[in-house]
Amino acid sequence: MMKFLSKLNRMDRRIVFLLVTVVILIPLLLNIQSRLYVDKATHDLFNRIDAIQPGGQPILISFDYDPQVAPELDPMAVAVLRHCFAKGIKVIGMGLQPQGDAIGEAIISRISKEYNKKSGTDYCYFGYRPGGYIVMLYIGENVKKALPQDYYGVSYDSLPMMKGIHNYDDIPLVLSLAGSTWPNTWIMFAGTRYKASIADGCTAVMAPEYYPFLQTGQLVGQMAGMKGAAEYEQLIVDAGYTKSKDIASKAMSAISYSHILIILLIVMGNIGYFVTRRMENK
Amino acid sequence: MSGNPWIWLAALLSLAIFSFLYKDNPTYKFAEHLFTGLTVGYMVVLTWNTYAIPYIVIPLQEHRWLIFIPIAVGMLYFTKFIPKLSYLMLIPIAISLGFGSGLGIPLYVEADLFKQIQGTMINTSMLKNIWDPYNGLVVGILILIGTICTISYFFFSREHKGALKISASTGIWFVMIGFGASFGYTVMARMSLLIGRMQFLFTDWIHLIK
Repeated sequence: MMKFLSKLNRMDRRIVFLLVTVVILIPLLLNIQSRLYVDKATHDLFNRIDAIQPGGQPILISFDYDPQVAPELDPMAVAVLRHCFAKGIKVIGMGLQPQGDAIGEAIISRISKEYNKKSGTDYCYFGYRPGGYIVMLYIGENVKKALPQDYYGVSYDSLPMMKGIHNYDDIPLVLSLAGSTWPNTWIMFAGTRYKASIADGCTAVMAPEYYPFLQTGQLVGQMAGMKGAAEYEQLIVDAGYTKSKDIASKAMSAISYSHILIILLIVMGNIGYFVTRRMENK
Repeated sequence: MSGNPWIWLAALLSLAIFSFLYKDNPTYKFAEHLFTGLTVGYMVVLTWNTYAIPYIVIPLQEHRWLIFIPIAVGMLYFTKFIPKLSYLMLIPIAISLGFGSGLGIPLYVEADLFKQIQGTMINTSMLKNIWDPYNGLVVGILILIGTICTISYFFFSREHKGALKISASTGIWFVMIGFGASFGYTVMARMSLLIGRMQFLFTDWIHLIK
């Protein structure tokens, strides 16, 4: 028995990989779903977007992420866009990350078709804008200077939706979907200098870094990781904007079971470590 | 199964990368090099279309000759490859560093320092909802104690004895709990990425998940 316990912390990692794969696949294949506890930060973001007048000022969604974090952030973008289009809130889309250019366009054009929304009148997508914080400063001074033409080559002046949009005073919310520190930059340059309302959708790795900004009110809301996306999906279903939950909600059971497996493996590994140490001391 | 050749390509390349979990192999190496090459190629084209054309080619076509000044300053970066002239590279570095610092430092100090110090202060709004997870009294007291104790742990100008030892020991507990929470989130993030890939393979490629 002691020998078996001592082998626990020397388990072949390929067995761990296999166990993780099986534990993730079973709930996905069996479509096991469960209700979520919705975090206050996600609630605050939902309420902030829900309070925007339909057909009035647009929100700005910045697709500041790469394909490698798309499984966490794509569901967030889809959920927020469904909320906006179902309620009739206009959307300005852009990105500060080069690879986010095509990701943003694919998502925004797919979801807009579901709600029969038109580019130029219901949403505008400007694609990747080079310059990082320079773009944020330009938007604060003159949006037209930062976004001279949209992704499809239509000039700013020819976009009916952009009439009357001059700077952050005309944009009630900036939502940065990012897998890195772009929300921090938005807070600094747009939030601090121009008093813009900033919210973020971030990967789970980055979420703890932004809790201090939530606490001080520098961020008005947050979606943290795939769970944050699942929470937002639940909120828009509960509010009646969509009928069924999407991809992030379906993954929650898989995440829960995989976490239980990780906890068991950590406990087993620690038992193996202490047993080995005890055997060596003898 | 999907009939789209691009989904098949993405699925096979995903499996090629996953094959590394068993052991390193030529299939994995091929997929890795393909990804690296594609990324570089994409970035070169994107840089040309989003930087060079709107900020260099179009201004020159419109006879805006003042653009030559920033172009010339930017070109000084290439003096790195001429040893005798490599000191000229410091000029564009100084300009961009000076501009970035002048713009960023005041905003950083306000957003990341002053606002965060303000956040550790207990105020009357915390009494409205004592148990609020972000702005409640309980959380406010914890943040105040945690901040002071954690900072005291990193105070090395005096030996950690007496009251300083107690606060430093408390601070290290806060640090370790913070690291644990951060690690837990990291595990969730990595699992989410794996689940995303599995959803693609078993939804878009093999239509097993509905």
